[in-house]
Formats: sequence, structure tokens, C-alpha cells
Amino acid sequence: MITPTFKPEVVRCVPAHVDFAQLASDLADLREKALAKGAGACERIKRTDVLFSPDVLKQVAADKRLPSAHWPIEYPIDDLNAAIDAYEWALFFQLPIEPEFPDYGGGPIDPPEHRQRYIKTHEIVSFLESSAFYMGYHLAIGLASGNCRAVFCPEEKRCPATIKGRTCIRPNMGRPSMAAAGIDARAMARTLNWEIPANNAPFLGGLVMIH
Amino acid sequence: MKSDPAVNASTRKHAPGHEHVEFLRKTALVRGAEDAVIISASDVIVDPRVRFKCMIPKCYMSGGCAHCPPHGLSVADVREIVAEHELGIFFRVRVDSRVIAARDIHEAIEQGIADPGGNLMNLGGHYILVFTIVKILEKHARQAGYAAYGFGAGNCRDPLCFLQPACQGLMSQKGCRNPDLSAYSMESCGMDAYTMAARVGWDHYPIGGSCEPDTVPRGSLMGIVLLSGRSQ
Repeated sequence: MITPTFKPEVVRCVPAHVDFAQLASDLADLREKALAKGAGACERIKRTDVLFSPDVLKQVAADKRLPSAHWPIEYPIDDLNAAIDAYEWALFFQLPIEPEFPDYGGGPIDPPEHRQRYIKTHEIVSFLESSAFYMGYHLAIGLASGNCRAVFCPEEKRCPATIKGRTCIRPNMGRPSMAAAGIDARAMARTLNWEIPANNAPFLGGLVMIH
Repeated sequence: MKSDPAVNASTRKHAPGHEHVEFLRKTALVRGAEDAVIISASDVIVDPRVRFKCMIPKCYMSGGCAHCPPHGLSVADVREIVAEHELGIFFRVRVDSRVIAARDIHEAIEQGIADPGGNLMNLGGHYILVFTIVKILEKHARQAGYAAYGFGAGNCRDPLCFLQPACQGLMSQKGCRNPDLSAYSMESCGMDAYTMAARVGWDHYPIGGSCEPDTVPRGSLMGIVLLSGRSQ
């Protein structure tokens, strides 16, 4: 599970206006930390570098094996794309995987070692998002890989957060995947000249919108 | 005791007058706010990202309270409400960092179990104070003939319905158990209270489950009551 011992290195007063020199320095610092935590590649990108694809969204919608609050994303009165549009800067990272690593889509992810890799993407996203939050980028939001139900709640018969009046049983852990938000992570990686997994392998990584 | 200038509203027809608004601001201070300022409604920041902070990753209360995302008001609804008002009384209540960032309080909040040090109940009292100030200001403003719409902090279910199994407003036709005290929070409505606080000159620190008292100098809970004049 996600490391429960996270402690912020820095807690800054929320600024009235962000200092862009400070932001650039913080993004560089967070990028280094993502790499140190196991990301194979990580880059600072602009919001305009985030690529959406209706085909990615269709694949998620068609995969109905383990529906959850985040697979597909079920927020009827909110628009995640509008929220993503409001950011300027993000960190995008990739986790290296073996060529034979299967694409589990929305799950289930049976081999524990493979599930652990998905947990790792959530762990890095969580670290970056929390660190940014305490640095004063209080609106930082992270997207990871895979269906959070398959990653954190494989034993549950139903995602409790999809039942009216019930809440997530593992709050502060599960995040939507980039795919569930309609983001074409593979195309973004290609733009950055990263090594792309084979077509039958998943893209494991995350996107943390910082500011 | 100083008389309430908001009570006699017979001569006023338009925008809230300075004297009345100042009375409301001072009332917030008298009732327990540490700071209170009058701001233009156009300075209220409504941002779609804020509601997503309740849902990505999910807060322990997301989905469990009628006032919390994914329920509640949409960002479009809130923008419309803000646009219908002219001014706001924006206030903050101080919470000692030994309470709001107490060790293990995050687990106590998520599990709904009172901690031995009493910090959970202490913090709940601060949230109730914010809701109370909101309702007092709304009442004074309405008595004076103004339209008022108030927003508190956090979720209302924990401080007001802690011992109840579910939010009645969400799960039953009976509606809210505490309609005279409950309210939407600023953040549940997409208001960026943190940046708004910074822009009025308040020091506000981000506090989450990983904080400890020595990492944050202070805590704050914020609320706002929007005001507009109306014809008598």
C-alpha cells in the first residue's frame, strides 16, 4: 500500500500569486524526486502538452469488468477536463515495465507483483501531489494508471463509493487513471521521445497537475 | 449595548450600505472570528479544480453528505449565485495547530472515533463556530432586508450529525436534520478560499493528513456570507 509515513519537507504559506521562478525550481525538485522514487522518465510539461483522445475514453467505457467511481469517472455535475484546462504546469512520468507485462485495463490485476506496479504509480503520484500541496500549490491533482478498484479494492464486490450515501473505503489513496480522464499518455510519451511500451502492454505512469 | 443598524431597513432599497455591512463584519468578530473583511463578490474565486480536491483522491466524506462533492452545487450554479450578490463578509476562525494538525487526528476524523486528547471534538467545535457565524450573519442581513447566502468550512455531517448513521438530507425525503445550522462549505462549492485568504493578506497554511503541529504555525477555518440589496 501507499507509504503511510509521508511527511512534507516544506510547508509554505499559500501565496496570493505564484512566483514563477519558485515554481520552476519546485518543478525541477519534484521531477528529481519522482525519478528517485522509481520513475523511469519524468518531465515538466505544459497543460497544452496534455493530449486527449476520445478513443482512450471509449476503451475505458467499454471495459465494464470492475466499474468504480473512477472507472469510468462518475462525477455528473463536474467537468474534469475543465479543471485540467485551468492548470498551466504539470509533471508527467513513466514507470518502466517489461515488454511482456499485460494490459489489465480496468482489472482485475491478479499477479501481486503486477498489482504492486500499479500501486507504485499511485505512490509516486501521491508523493508529488502531496508535496506540491504543502509547497503552496494547494490545487495540485494527480492521475495515475489503472482502475483504483482493481488496484486497491480487488476483494470488494462493488465499489462502495458508487453506492448512494456511501463513501470510499480507502480515502486519499485511489485516483482516476489518465485513461479514465481521456488522456492519451502513450501519445504524450511519444512526443517526449520516451520508450513506448508495446501495443499490448499498458502505459504505467502518472500526471500531476501542479499549478 | 450598541444598537443594531441593520434592524431598521425601511429606508433602504439598493446595495448594502457601508454602515450595515460594517455592522455585519464586526458581528463576525464579536461572535468568534479572528479576522473578517468586506470583499466585492467579484473577488470570490470560483474554480472547478477546488471541488475535484474533494474527489481526487476521494476525501473520506465525498459522497457521504448532501453538501459535499460529488453532490451539492455545480460550479456553474455557484458562479450564478456569486454573480447575484454584490459583497461578501469573508472571515476566518483561528484553530490552534496543536488541534487541527494534532498527531493522529486525521485517522480519528476518517474513522469517526474520538481521540483521547479530545482534539476531534475541539476541532468539531471550531467548525460549528464557523457555521454559527454564517447563520448569525445571514439572519442579521435578512432582517435588514438584504439577500444573504452563506458558506462555511468542511463538511457539515461530521460536526452536526456525528452520531448519525447517514446524512438525512441525502438519504431521505425528510431533508436535513439541522437546516438552521448546516450549510455548503466554500470548498464544496468550488470557492478557492486559500487564495482568497492570501489576497486579503491572511497567512494560510495548507494542512492535510501528513501535518504535525510543529510543521504549521497556525490553522484557519474560513467562511463567507454573500450579500445583495433588494427592494423593500
